[in-house]
Amino acid sequence: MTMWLILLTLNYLSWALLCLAVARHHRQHFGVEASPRRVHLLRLGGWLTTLFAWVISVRWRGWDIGSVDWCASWMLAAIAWVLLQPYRPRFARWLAFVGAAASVFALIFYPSPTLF
Amino acid sequence: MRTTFVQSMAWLHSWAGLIVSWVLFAIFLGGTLACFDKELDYWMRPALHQLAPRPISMDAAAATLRGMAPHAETLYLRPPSARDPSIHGFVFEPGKPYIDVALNPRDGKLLPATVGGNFFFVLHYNLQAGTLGVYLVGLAGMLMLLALISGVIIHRRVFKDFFVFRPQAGGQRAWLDGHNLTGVLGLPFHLMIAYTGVIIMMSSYMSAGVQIGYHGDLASYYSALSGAPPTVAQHQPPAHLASLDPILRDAVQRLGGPVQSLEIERIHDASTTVTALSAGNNQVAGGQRSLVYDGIYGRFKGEDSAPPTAYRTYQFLSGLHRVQFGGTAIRWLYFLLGTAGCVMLATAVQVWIEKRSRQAEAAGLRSGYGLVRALNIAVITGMPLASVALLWTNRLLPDDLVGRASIEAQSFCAIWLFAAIWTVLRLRRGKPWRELFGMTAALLLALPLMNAVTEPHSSLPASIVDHDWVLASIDATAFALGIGFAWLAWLSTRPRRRAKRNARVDPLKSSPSKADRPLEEST
Repeated sequence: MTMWLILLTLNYLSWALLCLAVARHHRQHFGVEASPRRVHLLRLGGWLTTLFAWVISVRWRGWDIGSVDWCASWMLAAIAWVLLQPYRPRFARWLAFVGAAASVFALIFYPSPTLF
Repeated sequence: MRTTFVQSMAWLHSWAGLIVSWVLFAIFLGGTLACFDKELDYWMRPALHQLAPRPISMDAAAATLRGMAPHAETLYLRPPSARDPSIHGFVFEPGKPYIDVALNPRDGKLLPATVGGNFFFVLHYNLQAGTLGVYLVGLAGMLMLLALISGVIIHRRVFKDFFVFRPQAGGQRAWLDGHNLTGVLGLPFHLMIAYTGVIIMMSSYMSAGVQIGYHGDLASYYSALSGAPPTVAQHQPPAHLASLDPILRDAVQRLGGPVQSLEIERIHDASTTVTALSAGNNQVAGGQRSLVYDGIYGRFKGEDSAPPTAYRTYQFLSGLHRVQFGGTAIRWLYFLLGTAGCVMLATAVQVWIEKRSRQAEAAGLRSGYGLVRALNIAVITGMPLASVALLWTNRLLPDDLVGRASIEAQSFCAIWLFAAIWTVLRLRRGKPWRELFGMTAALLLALPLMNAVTEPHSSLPASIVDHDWVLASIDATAFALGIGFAWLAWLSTRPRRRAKRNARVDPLKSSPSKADRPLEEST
């Protein structure tokens, strides 16, 4: 797995969690209102995931290039999630979790990934 | 009538945005393609594709450049890099057109002329229109900053509608969602790119600082920035000139990384020096170390002091914009974000016209609305078509044609003009969106095939066998973009059907202007 794919998948998961924490989108996706506790956890998970993505990105490439990498993939992941969500909601959620799981797996077994 | 702050911002957003949107679209698309300017340059010079990697001869290249500009005081040479195997030579002489040539790294001979990927870069910063273009681009950049800020102010549900995209809603709603989506989610990028883009040219746009601080003396301003100590001319010609190749090798070793450029100064004087500037691709701000060598014996003389902090800040901001750091991955991210910016602008002008569709219908095509419609199509479909046609012309023109580069540039303009004329002719009865997107799709999809026929050694299969991923990815990307444009062409037939359906259910539409409508609905 490559660096930019890891950043994109982690940020994608982060946006998915943040989006599902919004009442309107939670209803769209699951048909029920989210409990306050669940909203809280989703929001926390979203922010922590993107913070984690920023930390590993800065570790790999220094604070300046790492931050640019993180910020660019953060925006693109948001666009990807919002574009995918209305057409294929189930696939969009599935992609968030499988992608991020694959990234975590890759991070554990190949701690220094390649650029491409 | 009393207008509120938000209303006046909405006015500012729609008008400041509209008047520059077409220019901005061209700048954005040019910049997006210029993310890969060196890669496109390499693709457009087949003479470079079958070169063995070594040895390189900077001396032969310098000799060619001196032959082209015998009286120049300063020569610049860009050694081969991982992205571009050619040597580039630059000469800026006051009062003469500047020289920018690609040279064969083996023997220093001129490569067959082409505008290269640099075409898109020049288009991006001055619209190929010289100094006037630089100011036009600056004005467009400043108005874009205005439009971005006023856009955030009038979008009162930024956070509430952060994730909302309703493609099925149809009409203005879907266009507006698309505009908001690419605008809001890409906002950090758009703000950064507009701001740093204006900053890069700040000494042109805001010359008052230099005029006051340096009493209008631009030369002393630039020498203060460079950090190089002043040298004393010896007023006699140099006995001979040092070989550049050992200097380049030594500089690469001392810098521990690639060299951005060699600058040969005062070449006709015994005080001549050669300065090697580090590429600094591992930092956003780029290279800050420059090594100075004696120009006669090639001895290492020392290192220029690092640039002052203020200039380093400027380098950081311009580095963020020019994205020469961080390798191909980050250039792809910028490419995709730039594409999002193009979509933001394309949907913006569509929102403008959809919002006024009733007035536009009443006014007919011979009106300002018709002009906006025609410009939308001519710019948004015309520029991609002209860009891919440029790649075709590059392969189809013979290598030894006189004035090859300018014919390529003219073909770009001619194809764009063709798209504009097509738009005007087909606006009433045809489907210009679909037809022009379709042409772009066809040219893109057929590009790998045409490349394989004209340059068999550079074809997609051959470059995959050679592990030449730059060449292979350009062909593959063109094909993928071709599928994208084919999808756009197919998509752009659908809003028309929806408009008809709306016309049937909307009671207001059964007005006396009914007789005109079949003509108006043709876009």
